[in-house]
Amino acid sequence: MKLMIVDDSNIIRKKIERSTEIEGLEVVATAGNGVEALEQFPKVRPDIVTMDLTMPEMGGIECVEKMVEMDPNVVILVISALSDKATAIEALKKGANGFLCKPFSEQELNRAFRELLGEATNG
Amino acid sequence: MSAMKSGKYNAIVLSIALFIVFDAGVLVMNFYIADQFARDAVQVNLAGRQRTLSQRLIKALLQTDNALGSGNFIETPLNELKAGYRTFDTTLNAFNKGGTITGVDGESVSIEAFSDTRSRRLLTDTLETWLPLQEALQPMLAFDSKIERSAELIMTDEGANLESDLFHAIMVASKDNRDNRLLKLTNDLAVHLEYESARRATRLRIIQVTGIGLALINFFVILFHLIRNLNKYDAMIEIAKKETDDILETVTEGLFLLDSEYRIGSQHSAALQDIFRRENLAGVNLIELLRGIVPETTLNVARDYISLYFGGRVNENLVDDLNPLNEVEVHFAGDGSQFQTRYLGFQFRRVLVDQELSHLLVTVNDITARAALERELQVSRARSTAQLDMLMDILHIEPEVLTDFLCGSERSLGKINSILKRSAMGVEVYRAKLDQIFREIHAVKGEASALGLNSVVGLAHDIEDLITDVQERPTISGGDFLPLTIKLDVLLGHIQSVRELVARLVDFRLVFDRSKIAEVADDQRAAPRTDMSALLHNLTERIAEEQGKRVNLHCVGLEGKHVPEMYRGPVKDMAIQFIRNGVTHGIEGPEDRLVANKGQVGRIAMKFVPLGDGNFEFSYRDDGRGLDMDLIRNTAVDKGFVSADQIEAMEDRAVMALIFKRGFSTSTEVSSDAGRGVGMDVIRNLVNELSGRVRVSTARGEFTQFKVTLPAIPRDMDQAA
Repeated sequence: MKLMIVDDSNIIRKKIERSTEIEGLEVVATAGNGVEALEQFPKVRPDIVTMDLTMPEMGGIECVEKMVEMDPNVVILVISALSDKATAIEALKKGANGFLCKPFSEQELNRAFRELLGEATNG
Repeated sequence: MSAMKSGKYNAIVLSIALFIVFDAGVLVMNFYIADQFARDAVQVNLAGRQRTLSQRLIKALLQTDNALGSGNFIETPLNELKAGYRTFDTTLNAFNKGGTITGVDGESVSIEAFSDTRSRRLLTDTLETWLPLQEALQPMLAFDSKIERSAELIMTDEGANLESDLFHAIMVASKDNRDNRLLKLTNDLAVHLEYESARRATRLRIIQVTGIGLALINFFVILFHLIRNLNKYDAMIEIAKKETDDILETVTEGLFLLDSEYRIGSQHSAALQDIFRRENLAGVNLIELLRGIVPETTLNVARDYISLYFGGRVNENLVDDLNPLNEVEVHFAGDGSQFQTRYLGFQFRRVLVDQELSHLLVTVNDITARAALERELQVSRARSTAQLDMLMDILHIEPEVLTDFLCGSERSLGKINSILKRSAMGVEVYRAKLDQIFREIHAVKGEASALGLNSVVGLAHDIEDLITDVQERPTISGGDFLPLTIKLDVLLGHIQSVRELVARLVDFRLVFDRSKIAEVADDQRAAPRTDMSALLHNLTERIAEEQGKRVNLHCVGLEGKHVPEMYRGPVKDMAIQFIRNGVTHGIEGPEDRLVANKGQVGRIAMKFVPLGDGNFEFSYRDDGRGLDMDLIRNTAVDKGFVSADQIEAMEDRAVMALIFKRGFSTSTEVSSDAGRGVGMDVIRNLVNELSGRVRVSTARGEFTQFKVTLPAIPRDMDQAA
């Protein structure tokens, strides 16, 4: 299983990378904004993507929409602060599959991955 | 449910199949019986014809013989004899071996050989009886003459032979009564066949009736089974419905199903009506239901959020955090224009039927109590933190000093309350009121600061800020006092919570030291002891430390009960003010003092002594830099208290009096301890209120001294104190 991390914060990217402890889930790409993410997306074809919402150049909502257009089977976990629920809901409407609230713990991140991967494997 | 359904239908299908089988059986039996009846009827008819033919043959034989003898035409009786013979003989052969013959009605019929014993025996007897006659009749059958008239025929050989043959045949027929036997045998056969036919008919009818009976029984069994099953399933459905109803009636949550058009399903819990305060919720659009009681923006987000569940892509376990209706404030119209605020919590779950999303199961709870509790908890937590901070503050204060402070502060706030209550109109009156309040608060702040009660200092400082802000406005109205009263209330609450804390600490002490109960009780009964020197020492140390100075305070007559009760408060306030001003403005820093050939440690001496005339003197003296007359002059001109010309003309004594004016401060920064321009005017006011006097003396670089003379206390007042 290939994981792609999209977040403009280096700290968060590192944290996700370090915290991921799902067997067989491997970080194949990281991106600091939507444009970078979409450049890499067709090359690495990730199975699951963690997506920040507020990023320079291209935000998460647009990025989610384009990724789902390119690969309808991609699983996207939105990771964002709770301050703007409406934006997160918009991203989910565009095709993201789950939401994780910042700040998050390792356990919460891995639980979210398990939920999404379990669903992807079953479905 | 589906197993139950298939069981129900299996029984019905089996019963119907049996019904069809029985009915088909009866039908087949009917065909068979009808066919059998037809066959029996043919046989019986044929047997009857044989009986008739046996007689007609004999009769035709006798008629032929008679016609020949009497000279009449023989053709008719002879033909009848021939026809009768052929029919009788063919039928008898068919009875014996089976075959197709001409029936009674002239049609060809196919019959089978007789098979039952009695028929066969009667047939054998008939054949045996018939055989001699059959042979005897052969010549007549072969007879064929051109001569029609018998009178002519009898004359011929042909005729003579015929006569002889006829005679022979009549002899055979009558010998041993053969003709009668033949009649009897054919009659017996006919009777027997009729009997057999009737017997078979009866048997078949019994079978038919039995078949119909079975079919009817089966029909009733089906009917009974069907009705019983229907009753059983109806009862089961009734029980299931009753259970569902009981759940929906009893459950305290609002429960309902929501379709993709946001419509509430036909079944919902009774609690839902209570939660939304309306009936007939089935089919109502949830969004419309919430419109008006939930803010529009929340509603739009909620609609989008719910649509996620119907979208299919979203994992429902990973979106709970985004639920905008998780804890939503709703406003229900109450009596008149009153609104009632409640908190509702909605939870959504997908309902899958055969892996397909059919509805959302929605749970609604009235979480007002929980939400209120949470808020209360937050407030309580904040209060606890504040109390803990306060506890740290008050732990190092002498209880008596603290109690004294609390009493004094409450007195000050009481005073402020009466100032606020006094009716007043006009900007100037308002300003005067604000001044008075400011002085009271400033005194409270000063004392709190002396005790290191930072939380009280902070609140008092806020109030001072607010008053300064209002004072700076060009015009003041009564409404400007409103925020002030709120802040004063907060301060009072805070002081009361300090008192509660102290009470708890006393309890704590009581638990740990029961032997001292009496003593504590005594302390509590006694008027607050005024060992204000401890307080003043603390204050001096704190301010000096803040300003990087070292000061030694020496107090005389301020311990114990030397100060009369009615002067304790004012003297303490004045002492605080003197120390604040003295440490801030008077005492130099250690280096400056060294330069000025003084010891690094500054000295302040305070004394409260009774004078011989009954009056009291409260004096303050420090060995600081003394009053800077030039600075006072400049400041007075800058602040517009006097004009430049006036100041030139003023003597030092008059200039020194300026420091007692309100708003006078030489400090350029505002801190808790100096800079607001309040301070010395507090002293002047206190002295005025007590009808005392204050004198200042100073020497540049050497000292500053204040001497306050307070009048003797009237005897009754002292008694009261």
